[in-house]
Amino acid sequence: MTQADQTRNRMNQIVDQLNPTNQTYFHQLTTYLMTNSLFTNETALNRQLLAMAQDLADAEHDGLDAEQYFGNAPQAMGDALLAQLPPAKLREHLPFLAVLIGISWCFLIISSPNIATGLQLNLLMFIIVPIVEIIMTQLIFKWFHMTTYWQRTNRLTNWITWFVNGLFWIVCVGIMVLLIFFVPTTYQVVIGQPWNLLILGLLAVIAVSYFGYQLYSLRQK
Amino acid sequence: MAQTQLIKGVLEGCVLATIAEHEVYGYELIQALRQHGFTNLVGGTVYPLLLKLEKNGDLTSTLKPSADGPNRKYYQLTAQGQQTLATFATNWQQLQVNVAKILRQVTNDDPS
Repeated sequence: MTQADQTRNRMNQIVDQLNPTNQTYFHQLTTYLMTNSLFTNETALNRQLLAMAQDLADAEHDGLDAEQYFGNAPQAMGDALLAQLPPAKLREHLPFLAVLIGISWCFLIISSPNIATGLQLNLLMFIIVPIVEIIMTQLIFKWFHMTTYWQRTNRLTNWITWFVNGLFWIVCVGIMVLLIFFVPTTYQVVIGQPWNLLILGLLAVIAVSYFGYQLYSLRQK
Repeated sequence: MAQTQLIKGVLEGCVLATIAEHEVYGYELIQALRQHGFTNLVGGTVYPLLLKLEKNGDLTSTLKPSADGPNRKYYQLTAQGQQTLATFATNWQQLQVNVAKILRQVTNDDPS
């Protein structure tokens, strides 16, 4: 477990003990700040949130609610905090980027045509797809960040929010589908027999081991 | 003029002065400031200010063991913070004298 995970766990333990109103206030604030974490130093942000959760628990103990303690403008407070927190360090995001790139490459290998001569790989796709996915991930985070404090006062605004959310996802998937048709197949390599089977077999073993490990971890918890 | 606007200008100095007395954590600081008359003060104003002062080098923070849970973030004044506080105190005294002079003059000129 990383230090960031430990800090988050400690914070969640404190937040779980707050009353429902304070929990909602703090969860929204956390979502607002965390969805900006691609651009903000995660360690500093986690420490700040932990300190604020501890202070809110004290305030609740003394009979104050989150709005009385933090104020009734949480989004403005969030923006002011983000303006002061240090920017993200690239090395903090490297594991996340590595997983994202790894998963895209696995899917590209699996979905590539396995013809008689071997596995046909479009090298351009291996560069473009991860870049597009990283940009889309940033946009999705930004989107959640923007909509955290959207007022959902009635059924209509609620439906509009869901519609725009859905549209956003459709556009993201659409871009990925379009890439398959429009990326030129100029730089193709063919991985001959038996290496193609070896690679596919290796990917299958990695995937099964990963899911097995995840299931084991869940059972341990 | 709303009191909030006046407070914003001096809050930084008051935060430094409170921390100069002894190291504090966020909730302790806000409660101390409220007890000193800043009754409407909220965390939304104080937490970003603490981060700003820390970023500027006026404050430093350390995690210290807490009796009722995980380590707490305590703020201390740095040498630069003590200098900033001294400058604030001088400026504030000068400002107070100037404002008092103007207000006295206005009161004396008032025919009613």
